[in-house]
Amino acid sequence: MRDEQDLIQTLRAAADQVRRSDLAEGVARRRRTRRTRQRVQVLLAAVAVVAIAGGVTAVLPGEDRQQPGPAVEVSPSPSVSEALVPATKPVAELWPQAMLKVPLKNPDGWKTYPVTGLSATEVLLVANSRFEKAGRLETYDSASGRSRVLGSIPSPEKKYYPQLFAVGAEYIAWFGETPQDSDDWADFWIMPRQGGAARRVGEVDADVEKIAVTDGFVVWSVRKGGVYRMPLSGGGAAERLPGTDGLHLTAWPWAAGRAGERPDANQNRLVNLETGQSFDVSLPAGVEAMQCNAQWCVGVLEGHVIVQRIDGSERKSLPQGLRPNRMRSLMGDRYAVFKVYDPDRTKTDVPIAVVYDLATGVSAGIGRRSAGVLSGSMTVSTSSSSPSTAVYWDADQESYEECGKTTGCAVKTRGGGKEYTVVNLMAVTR
Amino acid sequence: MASRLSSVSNDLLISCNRLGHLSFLGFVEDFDEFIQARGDALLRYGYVLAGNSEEAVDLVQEALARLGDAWFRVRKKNDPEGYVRTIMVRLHVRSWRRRHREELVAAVPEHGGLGDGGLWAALQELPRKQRAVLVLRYYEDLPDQEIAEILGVSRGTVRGQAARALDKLQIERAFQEAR
Repeated sequence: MRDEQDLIQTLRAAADQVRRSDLAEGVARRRRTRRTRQRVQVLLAAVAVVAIAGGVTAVLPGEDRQQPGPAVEVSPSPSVSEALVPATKPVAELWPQAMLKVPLKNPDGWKTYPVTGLSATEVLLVANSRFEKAGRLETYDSASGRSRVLGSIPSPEKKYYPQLFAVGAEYIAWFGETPQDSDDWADFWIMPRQGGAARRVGEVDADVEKIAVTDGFVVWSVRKGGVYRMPLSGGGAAERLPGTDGLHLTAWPWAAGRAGERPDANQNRLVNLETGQSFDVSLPAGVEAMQCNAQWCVGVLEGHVIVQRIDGSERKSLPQGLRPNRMRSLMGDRYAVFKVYDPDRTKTDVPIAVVYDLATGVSAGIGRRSAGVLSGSMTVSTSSSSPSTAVYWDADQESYEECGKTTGCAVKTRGGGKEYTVVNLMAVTR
Repeated sequence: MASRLSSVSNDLLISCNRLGHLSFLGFVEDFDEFIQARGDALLRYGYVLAGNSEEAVDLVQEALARLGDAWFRVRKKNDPEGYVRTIMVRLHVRSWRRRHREELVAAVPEHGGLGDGGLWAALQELPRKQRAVLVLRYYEDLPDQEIAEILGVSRGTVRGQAARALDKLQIERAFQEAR
């Protein structure tokens, strides 16, 4: 006689015999069929209503397949999906003065990328001379509709790549690295905001992560924590700012301490490097990836984006259809950008993302999702050291789903490539 | 790869480099990713339920299609896998694709290296509900109460079905009383 242990072993061993199979394509096909069938049923229902209204009774075949009830209790989807994404006005309606169109390529044919807003009308651009190689700083002025060259970005080394840019009152600063080398090294450069020649301030053997420029200094933090500075006049040694152990520069004069090593660890302390004031961040239990600027913090708690002041006041949990923009949700000093997720593919006029005003709770829709896909593309510059004030996307680019027999379905893009639509939050009047 | 200068594609490169682990931030975001991650486990489960690869794929795909349509609602509850497994067993028990059944029951088990081929073959002869009860109890290791909820029957029915199935398989009921 067998026992229950034999049965357990037989079932486990049998499970190993299953033939591996690619599931995605079949699942996608079934879902398409189901959607078509649902539409047909809606049509049939409409026909039935007409028939009954006409005094004729009609019996329509129901769905012959039995639908299992959901395993978990769920509320009816319409109310849920309505609450997923807050009602937003398009940014063009809300902040028309903040919108501008910037050519994707400069007159020399170099690809340009918005970095951040410089003023209410100007956006800083970096133009790449070749793939990922920043060659020039430019500005685009929405008032004149023209771009202007500020100056060239020199390349002092082989395989040298500029990394992050910072905008100060007088200068634009950046640091560059030779990322393919294993040793930690970086150099610092400045260029007048009005344009002119770039000047090298100095170099360090350090793993630089963030940069800022003040009246007299270039300031940076290193990956393992700690903030340093060097005089703009050049020739000065790197000087570690006292009391900055474990701190990471955010937006001058602010630096943040983290609850862990990882870059997405919760920020738990904010320090004003000018005044030395330190503020503890109020962290609700279970929160992840809390990131703060001078006043506001954005994190993720139980599947929702939450926003709050540093001390935890005015904490709000945002609708589930808003998703963090990786580690770049914060924008400027009082905005955040969240990607929009609405599972209803058939819905039109769904923005790709929203810019959320942390102070007022107003959100502005960014871009428009293509029909039939669940996502779209927008970018907050990854080359601005502090949270950028510009978000951009290619409004002419259309996303579509392409399904292959073996590869499953993937979202691809077509069209576009001419100009960016940019929202410059420096232009939003408060 | 080298520079952090921005573009959409650069963002992706950077995310691979430095921020790749952030992709979820607590969200199981992508339905396709769920299929990638859990597809094999679900196929194994489908196989022990159905007894053959073809029907296992059918079951898994159909259940996943339904999950996909309800993805957002289900994901919120943080147990998409529980949802899809329940759908699978219900589909299977309710004689889903009955037309296949007759062809498949007689089919030779596909296994090669099973210790007790006779037991596996005997399992295929059981009525679907009885086999489902055994799979849920001995493969999924669920308590009878949970099995009853999944199948929409009483706990007594689960125990009765299990007892009859074990008798047919000539399995001694050693642990039953503990369940």
